[in-house]
Amino acid sequence: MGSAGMTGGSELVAEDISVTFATRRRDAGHRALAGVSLGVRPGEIVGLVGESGSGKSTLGRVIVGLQQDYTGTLRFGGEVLAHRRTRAQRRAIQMVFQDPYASLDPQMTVWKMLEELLIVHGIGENREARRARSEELMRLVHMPPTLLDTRPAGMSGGQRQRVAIARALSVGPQLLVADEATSALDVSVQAGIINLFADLRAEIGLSILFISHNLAVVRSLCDRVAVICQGEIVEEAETRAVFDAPRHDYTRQLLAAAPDLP
Amino acid sequence: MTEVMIEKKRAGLMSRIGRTGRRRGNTHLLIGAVIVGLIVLMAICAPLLTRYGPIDQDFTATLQGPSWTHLLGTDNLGRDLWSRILFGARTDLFLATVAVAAPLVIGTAIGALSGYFGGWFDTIIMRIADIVVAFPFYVLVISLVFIMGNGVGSIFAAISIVSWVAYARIVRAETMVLSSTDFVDALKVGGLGSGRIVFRHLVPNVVSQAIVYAMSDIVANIGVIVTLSYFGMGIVPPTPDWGSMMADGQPFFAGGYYGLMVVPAAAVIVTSFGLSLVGDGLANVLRVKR
Amino acid sequence: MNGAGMATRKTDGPAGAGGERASAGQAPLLEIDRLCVSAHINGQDWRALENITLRVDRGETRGLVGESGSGKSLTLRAAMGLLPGSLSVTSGAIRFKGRDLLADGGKAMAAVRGTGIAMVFQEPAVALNPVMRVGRQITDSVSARRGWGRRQAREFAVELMDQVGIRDPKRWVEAYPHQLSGGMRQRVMIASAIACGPELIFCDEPTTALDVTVQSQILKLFSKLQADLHAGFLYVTHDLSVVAEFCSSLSVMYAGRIVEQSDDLKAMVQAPVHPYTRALLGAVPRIKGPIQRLRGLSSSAPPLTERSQAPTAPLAEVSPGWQVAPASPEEVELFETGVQAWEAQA
Ligand SMILES: Nc1ncnc2c1ncn2[C@@H]1O[C@H](COP(=O)(O)OP(=O)(O)OP(=O)(O)O)[C@@H](O)[C@H]1O
Ligand SMILES: Nc1ncnc2c1ncn2[C@@H]1O[C@H](COP(=O)(O)OP(=O)(O)OP(=O)(O)O)[C@@H](O)[C@H]1O
Ligand SMILES: [Mg+2]
Ligand SMILES: [Mg+2]
Repeated sequence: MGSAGMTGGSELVAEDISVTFATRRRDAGHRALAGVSLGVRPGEIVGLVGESGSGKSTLGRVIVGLQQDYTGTLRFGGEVLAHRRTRAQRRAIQMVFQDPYASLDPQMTVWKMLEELLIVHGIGENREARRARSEELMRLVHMPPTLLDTRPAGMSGGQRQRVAIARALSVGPQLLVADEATSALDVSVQAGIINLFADLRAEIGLSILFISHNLAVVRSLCDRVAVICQGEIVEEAETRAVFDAPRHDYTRQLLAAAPDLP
Repeated sequence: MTEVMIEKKRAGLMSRIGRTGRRRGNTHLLIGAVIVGLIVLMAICAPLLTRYGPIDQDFTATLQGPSWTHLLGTDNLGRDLWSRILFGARTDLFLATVAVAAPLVIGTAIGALSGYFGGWFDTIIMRIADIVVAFPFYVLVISLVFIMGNGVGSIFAAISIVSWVAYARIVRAETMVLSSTDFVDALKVGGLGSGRIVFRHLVPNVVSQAIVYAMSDIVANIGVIVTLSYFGMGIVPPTPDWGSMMADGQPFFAGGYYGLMVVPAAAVIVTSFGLSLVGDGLANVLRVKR
Repeated sequence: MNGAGMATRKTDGPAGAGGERASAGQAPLLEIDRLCVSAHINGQDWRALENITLRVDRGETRGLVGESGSGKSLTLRAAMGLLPGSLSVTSGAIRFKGRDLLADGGKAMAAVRGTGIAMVFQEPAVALNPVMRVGRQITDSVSARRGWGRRQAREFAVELMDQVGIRDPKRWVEAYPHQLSGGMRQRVMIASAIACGPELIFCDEPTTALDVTVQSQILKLFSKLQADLHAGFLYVTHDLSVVAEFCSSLSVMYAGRIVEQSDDLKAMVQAPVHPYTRALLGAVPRIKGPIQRLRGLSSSAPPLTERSQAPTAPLAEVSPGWQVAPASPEEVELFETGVQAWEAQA
């Protein structure tokens, strides 16, 4: 998609990221991330797995700029991402959330949603250009452009998640952070979304940080996997290596707990 | 699958509850709308529905009972009760409705900002709200009347100063709930500014609650206007209004001229009833839609 | 256990597809026989379940899988007599230990519910009473039935909580649901389900809301309970890999029908016959083996009002205990090749 505004790939490097949440009692607070380092190369899909509360979402939120209280350094394409990001930096990293029922404005049609973002970011000279681009986005996420003028209310979970992905892609990001983007979906619908991510990487060279607690899903999509436990990355390697020869005990536990077909 | 399914189940349950709710809501709404609609129509067409002006005095026909010439009779100054009721509806309904608009707008804006930003801004706003509500309303009104003098302006100011609080609280609570979902985060990541997020995305999603409340607020405002006018602190005579009509009729109540008080009182009651039904029905219908 | 008061009279001979398996003399624990349920929508009747025939024996764990809206929960609800108002059973039978539960106007059903049959729901947060201490919730119905006092009920609650693997049950017995983690709440739900010593346990997606590790613990707990109680399980989920972990037999539903079922889950999963089963299996990401592109399917089965109302052919036996519905050419097309087509158009 040439007009998508992609400007080649940039590498994300997160170094020594720590996040501490204040607790009600005035003690040291709750350390959600303790010195995490992680990189996502251009066109790469990196999986981040761990159990509930291990800090996966917190890291994702730091990377997209929703969690501003952190220590450590974030670099994207060589530039350091300051706590206040430039508009271009914000555009470059987008996010898809878990629950497509909660993350879309129920009052707005898909077209209004996309148009607003395009206007805010000054993409497309006029209405026709923006409309054309929105239609292109819909096709990119395997949705009929005719659905542009409907509201998410009548859509299925899978369709909504596609809309959410189209919205994230509308501003032309280079990195997508997908936080449990398929955990709220039926297995068969999940398969469609996973394929979509794989296709987006192939077609437009999108890099993806794929956060999930489902190891099987991560295995089927990701090139590299980082395993996070209590705010620390305990293992990080090529997907095959992690699944075939896990080095850390915690990874082995996770693998043992994952259900699989016979 | 989890959340979606739970959500769907919840939606299914709600729609089942909703279906009975909506049916009831619809009849309430219908009856209420008919009552309110009639009253509003009568107020608008007042000059067509009566031959007498509301302040025309006729000393040859004072304190008359209902007749074909004077449908509801006349008062001690010979003014036609029917036309005074009609024109009184104009004054009271108009004022009550207009007095809702400012607090609705201000309260919604403040509540949405407060719920969205939280932190010290929210704390300050909510403290101010507590203070306003803790202050006795009628003491506030009487002080304002002393400062600004009798009349529409004081009533308007008094109501505005107090009643934005309710809207702000309702909208703030709804906004906070909405903000804690992924909804707002998704907009932030998209690079939208706070103003846009609050006024283009949050407010349209929460304002229906405030509008439902506004219906009951009109009722409350009618009560306030009528009460103040009854005590001579509101609408200044000779402008016709139901409160001052009751006050004017009171001395003659003991003499058996009940109509002078009962008719305006009945007008207040019927109007409030109609508006309450509309509010009720709207609440049910809107709850279903969400 | 206490199927007290339950007449175990002989069946008039099991009907339907799974018939051969019933050993003469003992009726199967649960037998759903050509059950049809229709929904009344906009003044018209639509088939929500069609000729559902399945059985669960003592000690059997049967998985019931299918995508969202296929009618899994509806089947459980019908078997519990908990159908919502707009839905009703139009034909067929539900037999529990040979006794027809639909026969005497729901009385038999009510007697069995909570004593012979128990149910574990998906969302413990919704199914538990937030203002009642968990200990009391677990034993509420049992102690009422058995006329127990506080102390006795409490002791029993502690015992059950221990049985479902809640560590330090004495400490938690007085807690309120919100003080417990998701996994613990689900354990409490399970404890209250087994409190009355049921012979048959229905599970409706009991682990879908949980984390992998917690899910694995709960599945282990189910296996343990199954061995301890020798109860029958009917386990509903959309995730085939979960079912494979816990169940021995499997039924697959699509659009209100059973399309394939087998008493041998492993065999069926390794060589599925119906194209829908194949598609469903192709959508499951795997932990082991070669990494393949997954197969996406349509977002969900067609809604009731858009389903074909033509009568369906009965299941055909592939081998003993394994039945498959004949697939029409359109269905083959839809499930085999329609996958990409759907992705492209909707
Ligand atoms: N805003 C917050 N305030 C306080 N604590 C928080 C906040 N957000 C997260 N935490 C805590 O930080 C830890 C990590 O949370 P996080 O949401 O990153 O976990 P997660 O790995 O995404 O888990 P899940 O799989 O449940 O989404 C948890 O213990 C959580 O309770
Ligand atoms: N109260 C109801 N009135 C009308 N139709 C209903 C009702 N409840 C369920 N249905 C319909 O019956 C069908 C089967 O629903 P059911 O809840 O059994 O699906 P399910 O397989 O359990 O799906 P899920 O995985 O979403 O729980 C659906 O098409 C649904 O729309
Ligand atoms: Mg998370
Ligand atoms: Mg269900």
